This record gives sequence, structure tokens and C-alpha cells, in this order.
Amino acid sequence: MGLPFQCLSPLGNGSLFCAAKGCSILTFDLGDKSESLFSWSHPSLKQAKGANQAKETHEAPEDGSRTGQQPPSKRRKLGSDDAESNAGSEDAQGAPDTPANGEEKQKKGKAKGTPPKPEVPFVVLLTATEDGSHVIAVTGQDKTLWVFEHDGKGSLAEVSQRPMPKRPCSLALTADGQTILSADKFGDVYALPLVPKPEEGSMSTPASASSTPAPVSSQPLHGANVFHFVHSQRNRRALEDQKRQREANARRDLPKEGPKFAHEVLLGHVSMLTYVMTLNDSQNRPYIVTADRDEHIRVSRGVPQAHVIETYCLGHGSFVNALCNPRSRCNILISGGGDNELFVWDWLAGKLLDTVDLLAHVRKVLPDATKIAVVRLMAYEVDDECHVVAICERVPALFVFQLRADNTLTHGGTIELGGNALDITTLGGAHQALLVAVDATSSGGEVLVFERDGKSWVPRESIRGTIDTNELLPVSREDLDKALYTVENLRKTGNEEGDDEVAPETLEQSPETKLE
Amino acid sequence: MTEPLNKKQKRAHYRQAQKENGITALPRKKFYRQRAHANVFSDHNLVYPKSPDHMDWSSYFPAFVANADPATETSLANEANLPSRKLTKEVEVVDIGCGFGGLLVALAPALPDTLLLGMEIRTSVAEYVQHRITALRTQNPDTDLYKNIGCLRANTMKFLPNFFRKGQLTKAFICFPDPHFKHRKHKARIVSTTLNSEYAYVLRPGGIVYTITDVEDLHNWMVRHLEAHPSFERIPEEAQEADPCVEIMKTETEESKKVERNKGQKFVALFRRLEDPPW
Repeated sequence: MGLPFQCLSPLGNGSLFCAAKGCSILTFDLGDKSESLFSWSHPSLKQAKGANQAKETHEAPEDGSRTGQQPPSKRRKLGSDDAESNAGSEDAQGAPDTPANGEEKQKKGKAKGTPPKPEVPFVVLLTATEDGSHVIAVTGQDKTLWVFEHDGKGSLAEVSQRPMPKRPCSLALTADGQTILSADKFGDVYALPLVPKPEEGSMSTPASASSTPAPVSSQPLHGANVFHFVHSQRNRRALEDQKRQREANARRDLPKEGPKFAHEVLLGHVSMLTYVMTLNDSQNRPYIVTADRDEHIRVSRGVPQAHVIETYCLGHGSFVNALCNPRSRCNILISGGGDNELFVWDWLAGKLLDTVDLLAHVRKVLPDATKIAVVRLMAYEVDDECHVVAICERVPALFVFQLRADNTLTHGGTIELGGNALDITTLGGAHQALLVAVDATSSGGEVLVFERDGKSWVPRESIRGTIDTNELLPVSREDLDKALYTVENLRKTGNEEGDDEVAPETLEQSPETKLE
Repeated sequence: MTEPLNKKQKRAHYRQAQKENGITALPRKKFYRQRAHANVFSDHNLVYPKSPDHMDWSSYFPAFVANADPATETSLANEANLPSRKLTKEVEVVDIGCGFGGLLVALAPALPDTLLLGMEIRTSVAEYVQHRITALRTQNPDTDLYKNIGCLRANTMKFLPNFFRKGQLTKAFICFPDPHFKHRKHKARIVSTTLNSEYAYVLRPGGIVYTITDVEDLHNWMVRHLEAHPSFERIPEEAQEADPCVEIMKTETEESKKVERNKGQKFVALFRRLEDPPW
């Protein structure tokens, strides 16, 4: 079956753009719609191709592109295909399968009682520098951040791959385009140089001169392992375990965590991050804006003062998932997520200016809709007017709003599509265009192209792209849905199914219910 | 299985009696015990305001509710769905993870003109402190004692900015926090590089973070992380003894009494919130 495109990003200011489809990235020129200019696929796909004959033998050929690199960090979710490649690279390093891997598998087995399903390394995030010179992508399953150099004509050359400690959820670039900000599932925002310097290759945790500095790792810990403190038996056991672990670690001389490339924690929430963006105020001072699953939008100063929180934009009743800022109105931020409305903020003052109902407009397309999950918000300017387009999960339409001079949003129109919208972007240049990646169940995926005609967007010929390698992927519709539609899962359900650790605690939490 | 059932029944009877007679006697801890650890990353079923403006403090500090002009207040408040009853002053001191509330009760007479709030993630324990405060207020009807303290259930690691505006607090106490010994649990520690930015946000410059623990490892961890944060500087140990709150913290919290009984050590460290650098 044909996979849909799930991510889009313009490449510079021209008619070039890139799109992610499954585990591949393709580049296109809007002026020449017939074929893709270039395609890149995740190495494990080539591997899968090679391993196709030799399946179940666990003797997959070693992946050349990987051997020079560090093996991905521990506790990855291992798909069967990738397990092979992982084993391959680890063999190359002469390291046996670590207990961490076993632990992960065990944990999974415990949770589901079924063998882990193969999860393919879908491209989950895709962005490019302002000038289009570099493309940054994240593949979800192996948590790897890829950087490509773009030659200006559509060809991408792989520059680096960096396995992140936790799965990145959103990417942004600093104003100079030289630093990547990666916000992850664990709530941390990391700063990484766009192009890692070779001499930094062996640094584990670089001393951070700016931002929220990580304290210098202390001498081997002491104190808690002195046993005359008040410790329960369990604590004692944990301490003993920890002591053993420490000794074991010392023997292996490995820091417990931390990737081997230059990276720096700028800030963190105790919540899953959903969006990160950089903004400048009217005096051109940089800020980092982060949104999380616990309804927060945080405004922090930019590097080197990322440890200073300027304000919060509070008012969402459900998770926040998308932010956007119109270029011509630098003090305005528009946000959306699990709420029925879109919110308009004066972000530096943390002040809510307006909300506008979105669910009502979704209902005109899907009458049964009771809740929405905003996937993406995008602002663009036409004829000195500022517009915001919103797409929602599993909704085959675009919702266009106009941001008026008094900072209120009014609905300007709904464009119905042939399939669920997965991503949107605009292309500047001579002919302004709006690109929409849709998941059309019948025809597979395509990128719809809209061009400006007077006051409205008019559909043009859409773009499809085919790659052979993707056809090899054994992806069922169910798995595909799981990979493509993840936003609604952010919603809090109320009946939490925690891990083992929470279970007794949640029981204990509601003594009232126990009394019945 | 009869044992836990009996315990449940006893708790039920106790709650029932409380309902019928009102809370006049101090609550008994044994009816409120709860597992000492809570998963700070899970959602729980927390109740928290959307923003500090949405917080209705009137039930926590009834003696401090402002007598506002009802006509204008309510119409304004209803429009934005905000609580109508405002306090005459704001909460300025928090005890993060207040446990059974020993510190709050001891600080109440020491800081009579300040509103103090205990925040505790465990439902039963927070409820215990609330009942304790109610009982103390009933037992001291002719004084203003204990009218300046309150307690609510909250996960401060996630929702501190939902309760307090920027620079609202002057003191934050972190007493005997969960040590989270395991390495992979360190992110759950109440003091971390990234969380310290949130403490800096709610504290005004000059405000103080008080920490105390009986676990030296954790003490070193907290000192290391707070000292490394550009918004905080450690208060020298000689100076910290001059602060009357330190003595109260060392002797009055429930946990410090337990450490005392077991002849354990206590490690104290204070940190001052610095002015933000020019921007």
C-alpha cells in the first residue's frame, strides 16, 4: 500500500520543499511536479531489503553506515528488523547485548503480554533552516536526529546522526540557524550544534557556560551509602544495589547517561513537551517558548539566559500541541491542542487576548465530532492580512482564520480535503503556495497544492511520490494509524493506567471509593 | 484478608464520626497513612487552577477574605470565569511536600502576618493536614492562631506556576523530600537543574529556599544543583543559623522528630534567590 506523506518543510525561499513519507525523505520542486528530485531512506530499510532473504536467521549484513557511529543509546524500543541491525552494530563494537536491552524487552512483555511488534523508524519530525541549507529530521523509533546538507538543487547529503536520550517531540532552530533545539518526551530541551564539530566527538557532557547549567559531576557519591542513617530495609537494599552498580559502572567507566556528542540541557518541564519554538521580542531579544501536555506554555529567555522563565501563558484546559507566531505581529502567539478553541496570547505578557471556537467549524465537516486535537497551526500573510491555518487530527479539512488588527481571530473559511490533513506548510517565492499532506485511504498519500487566486486558495495538481523501499515495509493500516495519529493520545483520561509503581498508590489514593 | 478489611472499616467509622460531629479533636495519623512515595510523572486526578487568577483561596484562608463590593466583583469575575472572592493578602510561604504539616503548624505563630500554604501530593496526608488545621482553629476560637495556614493537594513539580504568580513567594521549604535513591529516578527528585528555574520563577529576588534532609547524598545533590543555578546563591552556614525558621525546620517537622528519635543526622542548606541578570 502507498504510505502518505506525514511531514512537510520548505527548503529556502524558492519552490523547493521536502516531505517525509514513511521512513524516507523526498525533495520536490513545485515548478516540476512530475518526480521527486531526491530521496533518502532510513538505513534500516536498506537493511530490511537485504535481510528479506535472510530473515529469521539473525545474521543480517552489517550496516556500513552505522559501524562508524556510536550504537544508539540504551533502552531503545527494538523492532525486529532493527534488532538485527542493532545486534550487528553492537557486535562490531565488541559489546555484548546489555542488560538494559533485556530489561526493556521484559518490561514490554510484562505490559502487553505479547511479543513486541516491529516498529519502523518513521520520520516523525522534519524541518529545514531558514535559508534551506540544512534539513533536520527525527526518526521516532530509534530516537535519532539526522542532519542533511542541502545543495540548493534538491539533493541532500547526510551530515550527522545523533541518537537522543529520549524521543524528540519538537524541533526549533535559533535565529542564527546554527543551533538545534530539541524538545523531548521527558520534558527537556536540548541545544545541539547544527553541525557537530569533529573534536567534540568524545565529549560527554560539555560544561555549559550559559543557560541552565548542569552541575559538575561530583566525586564518587558518598553519604547515603553510610548505613547509620534512618533507612528502611528497602532503602538499604536500594543503597546496596546502587553501591554495586556504582562499582560496576566504575569498572566499565561509563557515565550512566548522556550522549557522546555536544549537547546541553537548556530547560525542562516535568511533563511531556509537545512544541518548542524560538521568538524575538520587539527589541530583538530571543526567547524560547515551550508547550507541554499539562496545559502550560512557558516563555523562557533565549541562550545564554534560558534558565530565566519570563512568564507562562496559562488558560488551556487540555494539552497544548501547536503554536504559531505571525511574522508581522511579533508579540502575538496562537496556540491550540485538546481544547475546543484556539487561543490568542500576548506571549511576553502572558496575557490571553482572545479565544475562538474551532470545534464548531470541525462539526460542519464531521457532525459527530465532540473533541478535537489540533495537529498544526501555521500563520501566513497575504495582502497585509494575517491568516492562521489549523489542522486537526483525523479531520479532512483546513480551517482558515484571520487575525484582525484588534488581535481577535475570525473564521475565514474551511477547505475540505480528500483525506485527513497530516501536515501543512507554505512556500514563498514567486507563486505563493500552500501545501497539505493528506492521508487519503483510497489513493494512498499525496501532497495537495493550493495556489493563491485573488482572495482564495485554489487547488492545483497534487504531488505523489513513490519509493520502492517503502513497499517493503510490513505496515498494516492499524500500525500506520498508530504512527500517524498520536496527538489525541495526549489527552488525560482520568482513569490512569500507571506502571506497577503507581498501581498501589492510585488504589491508596481514593479511600472514599474503597469504603463502599 | 480480614486484616485490611478491618482497617478499612475503622477508617470508614472514623470518617463517619467526623462527618457527624464535625472536626473538633486533632485527627489521628493512623487513619490517614499512605504509601510514602508518589509518582510525580503520572496525571493522578489532580485538581488545580488554570492559572493563579483562577485560584479560589477563600476556603483555605476564610479569615482573610476581602469584603469586596459584590456587584462589580461578581460581574467582572463571571465574565472571565474567575473566583469572585479575593483575599486581603497573598500566600507568600510554601512548604513543598508538607507531609503531616508539622512545619506549617509550628510556623503559623512565628509568621503571624503571612499566609502559609502546605502542598502535598498524597491525598490522605493532605486531608490530614486540612483536618488538623480545622481542629486547631476550633480549639483556639478566641485567637487568630492557625488562621494563616492552609494545605492543598498538588503536584508542585508540575503545577507550581498554576498556583503562584511570578515573584509571589518569599520562602519555599523543601523538607525531607523523597530521596529517590535509584539513578533512573533522579529526574523525580524535587530539586533538579531544570526545576530550579520554576522555583526561581515563583520566588521574588531575596526570597529563600530552605532545604533539609537526613540523607547526605541527597543534601549534596540539592546543594550542587541549587548552587549551580545562576538564580540562586547559598547562604553561608553561619548566617543560616540566625534565621529562626531554620530552628523550627530542624525540630518541628514530623520527619525531623523521627530522625531525632533515631539519632540520625540532619543536613540544612539555604539558598537566596538572586536578581535576574540584565536582559
